[in-house]
Amino acid sequence: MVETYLRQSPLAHRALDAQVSDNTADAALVLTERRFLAKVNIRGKVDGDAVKAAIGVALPSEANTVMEGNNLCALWLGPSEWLIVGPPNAEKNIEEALNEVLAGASVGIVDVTEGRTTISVSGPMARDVIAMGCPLDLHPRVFSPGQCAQSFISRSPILLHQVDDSPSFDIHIERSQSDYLWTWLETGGAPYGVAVAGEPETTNWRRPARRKATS
Amino acid sequence: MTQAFRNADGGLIDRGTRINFTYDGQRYQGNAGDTLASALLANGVRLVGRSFKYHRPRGIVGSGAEEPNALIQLGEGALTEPNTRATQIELFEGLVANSQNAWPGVGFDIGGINNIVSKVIPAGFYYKTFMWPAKSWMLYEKFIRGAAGLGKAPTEPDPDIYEKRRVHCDVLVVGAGPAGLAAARAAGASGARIILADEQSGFGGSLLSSKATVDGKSGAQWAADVTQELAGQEEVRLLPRTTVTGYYDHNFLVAVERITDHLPFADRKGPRQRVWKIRAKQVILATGAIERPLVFAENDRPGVMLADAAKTYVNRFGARPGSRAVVFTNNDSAYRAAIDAADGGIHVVAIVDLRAKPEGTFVRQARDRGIEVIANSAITAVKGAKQVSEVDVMTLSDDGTSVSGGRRSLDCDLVMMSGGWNPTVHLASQSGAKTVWDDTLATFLPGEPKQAQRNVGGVAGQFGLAACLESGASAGAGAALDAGFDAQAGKTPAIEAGEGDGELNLRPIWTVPSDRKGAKRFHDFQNDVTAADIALAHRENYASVEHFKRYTTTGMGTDQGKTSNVNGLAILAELRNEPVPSVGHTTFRPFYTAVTVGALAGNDTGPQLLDPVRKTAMHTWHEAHGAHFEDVGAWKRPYCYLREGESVKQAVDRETLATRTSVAILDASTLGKIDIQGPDAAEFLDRIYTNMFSSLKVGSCRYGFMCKDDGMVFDDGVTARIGENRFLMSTTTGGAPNVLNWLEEWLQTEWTDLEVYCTSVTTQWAAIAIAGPNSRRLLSELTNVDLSNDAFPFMTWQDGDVAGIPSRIFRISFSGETGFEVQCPASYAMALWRALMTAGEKFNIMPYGTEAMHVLRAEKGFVIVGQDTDGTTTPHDLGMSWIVSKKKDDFLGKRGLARPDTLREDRKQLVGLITDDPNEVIPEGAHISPEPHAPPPVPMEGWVSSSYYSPNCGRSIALALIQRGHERMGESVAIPLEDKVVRAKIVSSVFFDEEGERLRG
Amino acid sequence: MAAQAHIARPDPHTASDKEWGEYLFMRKNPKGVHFERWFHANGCRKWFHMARHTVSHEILAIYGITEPAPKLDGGEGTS
Repeated sequence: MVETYLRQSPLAHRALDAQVSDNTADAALVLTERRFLAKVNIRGKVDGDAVKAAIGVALPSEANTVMEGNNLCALWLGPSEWLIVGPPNAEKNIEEALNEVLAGASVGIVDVTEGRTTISVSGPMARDVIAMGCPLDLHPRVFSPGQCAQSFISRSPILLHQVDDSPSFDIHIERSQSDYLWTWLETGGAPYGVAVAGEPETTNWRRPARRKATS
Repeated sequence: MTQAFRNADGGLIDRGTRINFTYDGQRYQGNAGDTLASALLANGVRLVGRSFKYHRPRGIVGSGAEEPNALIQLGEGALTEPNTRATQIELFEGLVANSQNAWPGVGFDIGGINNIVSKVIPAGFYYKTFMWPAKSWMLYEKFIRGAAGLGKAPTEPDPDIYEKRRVHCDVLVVGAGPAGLAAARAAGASGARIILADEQSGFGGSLLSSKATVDGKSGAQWAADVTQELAGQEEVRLLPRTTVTGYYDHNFLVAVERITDHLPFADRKGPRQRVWKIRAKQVILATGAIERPLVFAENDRPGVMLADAAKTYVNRFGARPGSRAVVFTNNDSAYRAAIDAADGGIHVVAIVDLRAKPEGTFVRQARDRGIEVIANSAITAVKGAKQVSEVDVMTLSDDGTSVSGGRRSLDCDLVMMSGGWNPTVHLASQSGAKTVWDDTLATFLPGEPKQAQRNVGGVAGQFGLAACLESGASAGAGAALDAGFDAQAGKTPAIEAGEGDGELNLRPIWTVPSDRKGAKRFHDFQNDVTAADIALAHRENYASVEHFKRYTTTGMGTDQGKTSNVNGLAILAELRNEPVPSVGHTTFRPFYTAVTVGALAGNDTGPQLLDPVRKTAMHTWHEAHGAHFEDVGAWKRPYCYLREGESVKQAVDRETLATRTSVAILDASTLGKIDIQGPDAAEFLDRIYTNMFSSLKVGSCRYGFMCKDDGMVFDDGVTARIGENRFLMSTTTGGAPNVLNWLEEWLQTEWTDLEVYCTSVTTQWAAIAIAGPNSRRLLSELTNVDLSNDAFPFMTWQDGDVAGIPSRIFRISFSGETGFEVQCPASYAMALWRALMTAGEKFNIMPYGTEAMHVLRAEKGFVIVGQDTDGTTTPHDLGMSWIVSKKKDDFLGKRGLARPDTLREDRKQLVGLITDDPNEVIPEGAHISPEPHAPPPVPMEGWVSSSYYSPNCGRSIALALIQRGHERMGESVAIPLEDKVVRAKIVSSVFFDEEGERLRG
Repeated sequence: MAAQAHIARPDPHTASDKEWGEYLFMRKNPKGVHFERWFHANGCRKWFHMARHTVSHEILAIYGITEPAPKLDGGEGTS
């Protein structure tokens, strides 16, 4: 097993842990890097039931929605494309479970954990700051928890997932642009007050117990 | 100074709150609620600028965005802003303003000499005089611009912050006058998402300067109440001080909100301005109308003002723009203004009316009040230098083209003119609607909407208050309904004290005749364009509206012709003897009023945010070790690593030599990587690449070329077979997104039967190239993988731990040295990089940058797609026919490569060049000419694509694409440069280790 | 990213130089209804068809990348 202390998230150089604020309640914008979340991309002709049985979350069929289950989120990316997001270090097991159950199927399963990081954005100004660069309509009538969309912020492609209606969003961003995006969010929020929050606890992922197929 | 022209009561200003400001170095006082213009008028300041061309004294003409004259250099130092309008600047404590376009000052202006010699500066003067010789324009321009002296841009960086924001709504209402307020109220009640934007500080539009009462309250009070009602609705967003400046496709509009410009500097916090990018389901334009000047002799004297503007200053600001007014009109609306002016303490000497028998409601009221109405008459001269002192009035002929009879002089210091009203059709026209001419109003109306849009109130030609309120409410309800909400227009408010029916009973006289020959009749104040200039343009056949505009410069100033366009077109139409609509008008383009560049940039400024920046996992190491970065696409890549006291060239030479002498490492993470999976992956790659990939063994990798279907090289890279149905493709750094899109395009549109799935893993894996004779020794210190030539041959890959990190090792090289590329999960890359640097100390390891990489590959003649190709280069042109499969039935580019043009023998082909002088490094991009001394156009036969000093060869080397290059080995060619002709010999493109022994060693 | 839609790639074995040249280079630029291929680059990465009016920029139809063009007023459907 590789030594975990060697592992650096894309924003490690910012030493965000040292910036974590005790009181984020007064901040208009609260930012957190959610490090090393497992991310596995699935494309192709996927048997949704098999996936559900294998990893414990169903794949959403409705565009731009998210299914949750077994500590995983399955985000709709396109017709026949999904992203499974899970707790850190789950990616190999998820990939393995998927490969097992989808063996021989016409699918592409790719671990993309390392290629992206996740910036959590919350607070009363979260929508407004995201809207400084994102063309999506984030009004609660249109976009609500459990929805996701691929779009861009300023000129960086993002995958946006609304987590709750506080509101809180997870922005999945390609790792090389995460430093830019962090600066961008911080700058946009600066006139209103920005705080850095600590990472939320995550629960380890376990592969669901295999049940005998019932016919 | 005291506010000698301020009424003791009336208006919306706060007399209890005094505000100190400085104008042209002099200190004044105004009141809260004032604009700079109203405060200046209240202080008796009449002269506010000099005109652009003739430097004639000018005064305030309007009261809003239309103002052509009162241009202000606002603020000082880094905060200064040119070309602002005094009529739109809200007064704040400590405001510092200066007039423009006059030196040393408006009172005594040296450029005024232009006025005296104006006979020799007609329209088109600059074009005619200064265009020859062409070179000298630069010289002339300096003086002309200096003398013209529009405002000055600040020289310091802008200290303010700006913001951009996207917003979506069901109904956007532009303009919060009576029609806009009624629309927003009706739509807002439905629960729809509403945005109401108005350029003024307070909502109400014309109600703020009107004496009408609505629902038993003053217009201003009604507007305030409705505004408050709207503010209480959750889904209504009110945007005062916000100008909607552009209307684009699919109901996308851009607005600029001035957030802190009206505050004293000490109170300014946060963004100064905000650009709103609005996507609206429905749009209601309630943009109102702008009064039109009359074009009469010397109508540009300070004190000649739009009648409605004068009324606004009196009613809204309690400021009298003069003491004795003559009103000059061709319609009824000026009578209302005259009555209000009289109520406001201005002595109205007379109303001069171009119409033979004026007799509307307001005409009667004016007469009843004892105001003299001089009908069927015209002002034929305006006297006074820096302020009006007297006007001459004569009787108009029946056809309105001449004047006759006795000249009557009227003593006055204010002329209130009205030539009718122009609906503010700018946004409607930008939206794609075709304007229509209205004969009764003698102006353009917005015409049939082309998008989900409605026009209400003044912009729709409705000048009666009742009509505005009614059409607004009905449009508001209709728009909400169309956006999917249940809405009703509701009851129209009752109007009590007369605003009349809004009828103008207008008689258009586009050029008011005068008995004074040569008297200037301005139709465009800001650009100093007169009726005579239009006639001149017409005589010289600049009669098309587009030519006319550019010849005379009508409408080209910062006011974009808001007061001048229709008058100019109508005068041109008369000269052409055609109706105005057949003359047409020039296109209304965004922006409606000028927008600060900072607002458009928003936060996207500075080295951090101007553009997205992509950084590799080792970026901070590079920064800490002297990296001199270059931009490759959005990536920051180390060009070289500078040591203390080293020049860039020295660093590049050092890194280049070190790679061939011992070992060096390169951060190669930016190269594109695409995971390609699926049962048809091998077949797919056979079609995509020019060479064969289905024959590639698992565990091996192969260099491949991609062509577009025309046969031209598009991208290249090494692709490894990871499994039977899985490949890892690499692409150029800059080409990565295009290649992925290209793969998707063929899979989705043409080869839909292929089951292949492509996913970008560019940043999933970081990559470190290890190159040099000691690369194997170095790597073997960190891994148990057998790196020997037999166990790990060239162009293969293996998985294995490197420094304890699970990695994938490739035996590939872009330097021509023994080399490996190690790819590892990106978050471990910094650890791996450090481990290599530490382990490499004994080999004197150093990192190398992109320039050393370029030199090394050029020494070997390896091409870079995009540098040694330009989209018209085939693999054969590059001398790489070996990479084009002859076995494959088809691949992208195969048929293209068989086209007659791609088979031509005189195509440009890639060769090496060595200069006669080994120290001469030819600039990249230099042309190669068979006749370098021929007169221009000098014939060209190719160009230099890559050129470096090679420390390993001890001389300069270059690659070039030259016609028939491959058959011209040994030939001497000429490269003409700016100051000399360089000679070079055509050689093989491989300069170093031609046998490739080091590569495979 | 938009380009003229419904251009079939000719059989490279039988296509004449002229046919291949037209397939590669010749594109319509109509004033009016235009059938185009678009790529949802900042979204689901799918190619799709769009019928668009080149003057008003109005989007008249969206249909799948393998589907034939619909019949629309002002333009002729091709497949």
